[in-house]
Amino acid sequence: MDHDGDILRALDANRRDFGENPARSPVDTAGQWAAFLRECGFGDVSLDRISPQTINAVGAIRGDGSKRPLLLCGRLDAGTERRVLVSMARAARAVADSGFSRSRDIFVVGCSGREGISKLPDSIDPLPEIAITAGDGLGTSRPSALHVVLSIRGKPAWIGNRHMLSNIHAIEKAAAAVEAIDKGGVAGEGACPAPRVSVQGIIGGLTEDHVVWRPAMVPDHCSMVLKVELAPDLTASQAIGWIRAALDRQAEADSDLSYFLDLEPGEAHAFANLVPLAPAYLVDEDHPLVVACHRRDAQFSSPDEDVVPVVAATQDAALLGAAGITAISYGAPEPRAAKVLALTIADMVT
Amino acid sequence: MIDSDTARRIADKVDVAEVADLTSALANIPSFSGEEGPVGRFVAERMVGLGFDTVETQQVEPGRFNVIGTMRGDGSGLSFMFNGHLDVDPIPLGYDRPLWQSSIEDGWLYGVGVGNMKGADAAMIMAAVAVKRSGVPLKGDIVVACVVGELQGGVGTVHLLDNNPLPDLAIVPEPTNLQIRTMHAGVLEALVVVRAKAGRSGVSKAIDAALRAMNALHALEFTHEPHAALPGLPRMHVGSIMGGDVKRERRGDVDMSDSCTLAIDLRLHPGMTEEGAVADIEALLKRLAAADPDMEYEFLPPPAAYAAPWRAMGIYMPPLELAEDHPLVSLTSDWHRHVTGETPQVGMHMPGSHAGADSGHLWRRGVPCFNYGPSQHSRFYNEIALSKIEHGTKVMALTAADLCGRAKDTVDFGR
Repeated sequence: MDHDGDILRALDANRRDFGENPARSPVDTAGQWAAFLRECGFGDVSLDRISPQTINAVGAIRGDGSKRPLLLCGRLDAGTERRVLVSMARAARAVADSGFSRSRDIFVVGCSGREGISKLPDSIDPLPEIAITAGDGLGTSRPSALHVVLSIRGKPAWIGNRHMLSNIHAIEKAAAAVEAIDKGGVAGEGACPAPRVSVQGIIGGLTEDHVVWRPAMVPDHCSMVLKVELAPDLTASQAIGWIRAALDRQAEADSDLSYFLDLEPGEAHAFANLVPLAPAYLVDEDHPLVVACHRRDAQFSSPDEDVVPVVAATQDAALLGAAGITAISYGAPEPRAAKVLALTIADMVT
Repeated sequence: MIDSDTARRIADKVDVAEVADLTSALANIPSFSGEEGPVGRFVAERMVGLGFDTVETQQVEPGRFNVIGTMRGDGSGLSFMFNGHLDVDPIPLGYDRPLWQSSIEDGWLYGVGVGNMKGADAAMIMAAVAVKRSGVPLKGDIVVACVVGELQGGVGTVHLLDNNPLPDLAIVPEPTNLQIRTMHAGVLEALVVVRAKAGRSGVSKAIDAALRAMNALHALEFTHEPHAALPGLPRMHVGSIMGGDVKRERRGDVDMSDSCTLAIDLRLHPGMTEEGAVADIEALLKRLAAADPDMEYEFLPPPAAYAAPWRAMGIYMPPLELAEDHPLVSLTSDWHRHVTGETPQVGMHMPGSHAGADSGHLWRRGVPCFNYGPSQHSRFYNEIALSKIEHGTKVMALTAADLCGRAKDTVDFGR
């Protein structure tokens, strides 16, 4: 359907009528966001009070209901996301103002933090089929991640001993092990060049022979929390196997190296209270939502303004995905973001 | 110079059982660095009981103090100091003897810290007492300084030298197995804090950068002329590392692990200076920062004493290099030969010459000194041979009596 011109004109009219920020105030609370939506032309605006501190502000544009809704959402507590939210609202309004019939309801929701996002699948009826979350770039997949604790053992000695000690230095061994793991990587899918291993925490020193750490002693122990990010098509056991292989190669080349890989680090570790990490998330590249967003973004690219990079999707997209909503994340500089979003919305609802 | 009869008279006043008894008593009192108060009080009381002419307790910080006992001369001779520390090393895992219960077995005395250096402390105290008991007249003072915090870099000795008259000569009876160690390393312990300037990255750039910094520090070529006797120096390594939010929040995973701290230990040879070494390290960190603008590198020399979680030196400990033909060396060698029948090794003494000691502080202030002590390096520092205690006490007594029996204007000992 050739609706592009009408929608872009409606978008221009919206900006002309209401200015860049119709509410002329920060939109960092649900109440301010609701006021903004009304000023922007939304007739159906409500506040969804989840807890005293968690309130989502929901703007709705109704369709004929033949398809499940489209959800546009972002967090009010993040500055970059608020800017994308404004683009989302303006884009949705332009689609409505252009007068084409719509097969879906469109919801534009400013959320209070992750808790607000997590309540969306329960508060919108029927459950949205597709969603775009505010982000930076085009995000269609997100790696899963897990924590492991890698403990490297060297041998204790005093720095002043006659012989050179680098061959027993546990922290050096740990650095070499991380490098070996890093170099042994395999390519992941799409936006996720995973598995990627990053050191999130490290403690090293002399722990075997003395009850206190002494810089004068060659460290015989080094423990690291590794965050292992997996492309959505890889499993944890594959990644662990790959890490073990890299470490085994190191140990083969270094008879003084021994290691222990704790796959389920718990409270007993120095690295206690490790937070659970998100599962993998992937939207197929040929899903209509991904195709539409990608195509529309390319449409507004220029020699001065490249297509937005394909990045890992936001946690919010993955969170909605886990609830059964096909969600991507998107964000770009203005005015491009509003144009891309408006035409993508139109592609999905008309 | 004292004659052989006088020497015999002095040596006869050394009672090894008495020295061993004092060693045991000292070893039974816990005295980790910062906790030397009880042993200090014991030493002060014992010195008074043993007949020291003056006993001064000098507070270094509340609850811990140096104890300085003096056998007075008539003021016409050289002042001579024995300097020993009262703090003991941490007890390593695997130590399988009863704590704070010393014992004697087969000619050896076992107890916490007797090797470093409560056996030597007892020996130097009883050496001064033997001189006093012998009735040999003294022209110069024999000063016995029992100091705190040597394992913190020598905070007790620095306090002592800041507040008391400098001695003309000194012996620091660190563990040398009765060899004369005239040179040892300087020790600089410091922190390098690596901080990420970037925001939420999901990856700890600071830890990666710190590991790169560690490798660069290990490969650093210091600006120096190699020291022929100590070719293994300078030597530096990262002894500990802590990064992420593991300390503050006890969490390994945070969106922004923005800091990683390296604790380094540097051993300098006597031809190097603290300022020169620090400049080399700072130049390296500056190069690293220039290559990675997202990182900041902060050099903190040295860290606060025993700042958790590190047990690190609180101050810089300078190196020592006394000429091997210094008259004090010759004199002590002579008395060592007289007592043991053997010629002591003089000069570099490994592995102790790669360590620091309070002798570095004395040397930096122009006091000729060296290390000569009755124990030897060991893993636990919990043993000392009674024969070494006896020999060491006698040699120290004879050396002190000889030095302090001379008129100041008749000898040249290099000050």
